[in-house]
Amino acid sequence: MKKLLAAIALAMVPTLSLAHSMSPGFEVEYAITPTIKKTYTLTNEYNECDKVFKVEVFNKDWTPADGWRTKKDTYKLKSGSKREIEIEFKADGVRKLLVCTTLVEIGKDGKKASIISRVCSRLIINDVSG
Amino acid sequence: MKTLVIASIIASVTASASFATNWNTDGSVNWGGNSGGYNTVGCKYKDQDTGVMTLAEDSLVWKTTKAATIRVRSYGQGNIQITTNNVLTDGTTDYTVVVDYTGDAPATSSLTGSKISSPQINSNMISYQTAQTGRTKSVIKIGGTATMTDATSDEIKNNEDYTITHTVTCLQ
Repeated sequence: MKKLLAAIALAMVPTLSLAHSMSPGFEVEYAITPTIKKTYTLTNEYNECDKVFKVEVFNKDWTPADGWRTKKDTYKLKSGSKREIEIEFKADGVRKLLVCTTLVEIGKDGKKASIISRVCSRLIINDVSG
Repeated sequence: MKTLVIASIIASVTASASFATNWNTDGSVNWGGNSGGYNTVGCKYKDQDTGVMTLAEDSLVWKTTKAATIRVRSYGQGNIQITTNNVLTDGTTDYTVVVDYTGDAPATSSLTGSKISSPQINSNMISYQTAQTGRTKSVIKIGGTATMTDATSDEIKNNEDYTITHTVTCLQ
C-alpha cells in the first residue's frame, strides 16, 4: 500500500510563533452622519519575517459586507510593527458587522501563508442621523 | 496677608490628616497598584504543530494520522473558530474536497481548556466561547478526514506533497 503524506497547513511556521492582533474589539457606534470612520490598529506579532494582511468586512452571517471602504485592501507589516487602518462605513439603520484582518502572505517574495490567522472585531453601527 | 491665609489652610489640613485617625490594633497595610493594559484584548497563538494526513491506495479519503495542534490564548469575551476552505492543493493546482473534523481517522479533533465554554466539534467547524473575565487558554487538535471526488482522485500524483489549509478565527 502506497501512502502519500502531506502536512496539514497549520504548522509550516516555526513553533512559538505568535500571531497578529487588532484593536479595538467589540464596539457599538451611533452615527449622526451618513458615514462613520473607524480606526483599527493592526499589529504584526509574528516573531519572524514580514507579513501581509488583508482587510475584510463581513455581515453578521459571514457574507461579504457592502458599504465600507479603506485606502488599501492589504497591508505589509514588519515583525513587531503596527499600522493604523482607517475604514469608512455607511450608516444605514442598524448594521452588525465583523471587521477582520487576515494573514495572506509571508515574506518579501509574497509566499502564500500556510497558517491563516484571522482576527475579527464585532462592530454595531446605529444610524441616528434621522 | 493672602500668603498667610493659604499657609494657615495648608497647616490646618496637614494637621487634620496627621491626627485624623486614632491608634488602633490593626497592623495591616496594603500595596496598591493598577494593572492597566496588562492583557491585549483578543487572541495570541503559539506552538503550531504540523498535522499529517495519509491516503491509502485507491481511497478517496485522506485521514489524519497526526492531528495538527495549535494553542490559543485569549482575553475577553469572544469566540474562536477553526474552519477550512475545503481546498486540497499541491501548491500549483487546487482541488475541492470535503473536510470532516468529526471524520473517522486515527487522529481525531479535540478541544481542551479549563475556561472554555460551548465547545463544539462539527463536521465543518471547531469552535468554543472564551471566558468573560481573565484569560482563556486552550489546546486545539485538528483531525478528521478529507474526501475527494472521483475526478479529483484521477489527478492525484504519486509522491507529491498536498496541503489543506485551516483558518483560525478569533472573533473579539
